[in-house]
Amino acid sequence: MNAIPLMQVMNQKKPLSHMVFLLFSLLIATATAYAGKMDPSFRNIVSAFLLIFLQLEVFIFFGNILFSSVNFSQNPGVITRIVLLRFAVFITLCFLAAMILFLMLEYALRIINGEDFSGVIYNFFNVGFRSWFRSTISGLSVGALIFVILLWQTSLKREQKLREENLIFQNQTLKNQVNPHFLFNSLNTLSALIPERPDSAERFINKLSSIYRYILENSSRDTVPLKAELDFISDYYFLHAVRDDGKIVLTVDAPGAEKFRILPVSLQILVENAIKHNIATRENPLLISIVIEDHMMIVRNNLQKMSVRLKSTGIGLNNLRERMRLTTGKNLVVEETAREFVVKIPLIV
Amino acid sequence: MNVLIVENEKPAAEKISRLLSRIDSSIEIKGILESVESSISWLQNNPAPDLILMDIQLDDGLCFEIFETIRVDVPVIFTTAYDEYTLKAFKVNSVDYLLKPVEESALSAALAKYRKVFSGKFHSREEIENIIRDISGQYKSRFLIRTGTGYKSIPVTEISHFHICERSVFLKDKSGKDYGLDYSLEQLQKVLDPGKFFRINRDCIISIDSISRISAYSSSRLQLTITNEKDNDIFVVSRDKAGDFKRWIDR
Repeated sequence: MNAIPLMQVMNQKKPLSHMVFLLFSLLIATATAYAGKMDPSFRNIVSAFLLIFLQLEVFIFFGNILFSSVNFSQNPGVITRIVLLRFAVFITLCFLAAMILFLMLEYALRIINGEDFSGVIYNFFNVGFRSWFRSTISGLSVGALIFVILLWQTSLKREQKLREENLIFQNQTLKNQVNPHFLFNSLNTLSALIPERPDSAERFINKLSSIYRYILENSSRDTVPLKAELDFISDYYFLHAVRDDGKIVLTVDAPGAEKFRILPVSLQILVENAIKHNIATRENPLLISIVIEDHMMIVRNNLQKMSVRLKSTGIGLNNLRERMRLTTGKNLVVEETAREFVVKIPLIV
Repeated sequence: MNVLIVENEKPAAEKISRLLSRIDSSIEIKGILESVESSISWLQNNPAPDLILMDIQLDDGLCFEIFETIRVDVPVIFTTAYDEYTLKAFKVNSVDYLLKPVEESALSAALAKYRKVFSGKFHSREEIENIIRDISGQYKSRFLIRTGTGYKSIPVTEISHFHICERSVFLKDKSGKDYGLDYSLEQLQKVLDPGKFFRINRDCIISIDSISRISAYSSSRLQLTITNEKDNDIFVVSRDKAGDFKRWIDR
């Protein structure tokens, strides 16, 4: 069953979905009438139609609120508890809503037809309750069905999105894994070091292979230990520092890094972005700092933007943002002031 | 031969210097520059070298900004590590380049080629512009104008409009000065940011921030009042451009 179109129907922001609900309600109302469950008068059909339509809108509204924001990446026990709780809330709300809608409709009908409406509530709880309850239960079964579908849709959609973003990342990272620009520049540097400074050259080679090994091993993982990512960044920076001779300065302050995990290669993407977009001269070096603050990794650099720079696919920051959201449910924070650019990555415990 | 090296990475500059002296010990390296700014300054204050070896990415921007700011009448060999857009742009505009890591044989061949051709290859302005656009995806940020005494570089933000007068194209800046340009309006349309510039009729391209008022005009046209311009008769948006103009203004 192709899940996504159904999901789009459930999205109440589209006029199309409201049309679908209207038609559906009309169908059920007329079907009920002609199936003999009630007197097929115009008034009955219209009130049934209205009731069903309003209930449908309200149930789906509640369903969307309660279930589209569930974070599925926590452990199953937590998820089950959350889902059951929300389901209970959902059923209660729907029940109450159904009751209120029914009563409102009764009042409205009586007022329109000039009938006496004083005994409506009494009537409801003593006389009409059984039949109301029966039809509401069937309505709520539909509600439960809708709930299950919504849940399923949300998780499917999320899985698909995550797979897509991971594919984009991996595909881009395949190029990034090689990162030809970085590789050939590094090899050029290496060929300069070899005849003049063979010891430096050897150290350079070791760091270069560490980097590639890290990227190859970790790109497909969801999270890595923060310590590993920091070691990787320090190797990456070392290779840059040999080339740019103090024009880029990276400082890292991360006490207690062992407690955390982070998205792989995330810090490197941010550092690389900073280098790509900003001027770095001896008089005005680029200063990048990485600190831990409140369970977040803060990557900060002084802003000195280059006016013209190489075209990049721009996938870096957005893809990171998406992967972050899909994997952890949390958001990247990006702040740009006149003097600095700050990105905050939530850490995973 | 006098060679200028424009390369912001020390090991890479050392390597090129070493290769050059190995290939031909008579080559004299006149300077090693690391940024667009220092290159422009050096080229303006020193006698021109015979050849420039230039890296694409410098400390403060792309090397092509040098060509947008001053006139460079020296043959240039570019060096690049790897960038798909850059390589494509170079190939399309038949620009000579060397791939990093630079091989002695490749450098030697490039030098030999330049020695043979007496006046070397100077890059046309159009080539440079195409390259910048291809590798940065950005539009022209300034124009190089030949003035009586030399050259002047006018940033795009200072431009009020472009217009045709007596079959020639002129650039008028916000202070009201007119400069002759060697571009057709069609060529300008290709290199200007379409979000900021609009061709209102056959004879004029205006910048969005010089429009102070738009009024209706006969035959479904629009008349624009341009800041600091008294003669508003030429700033009429033609009928067939009026629709696009309204949409453009609305963005």
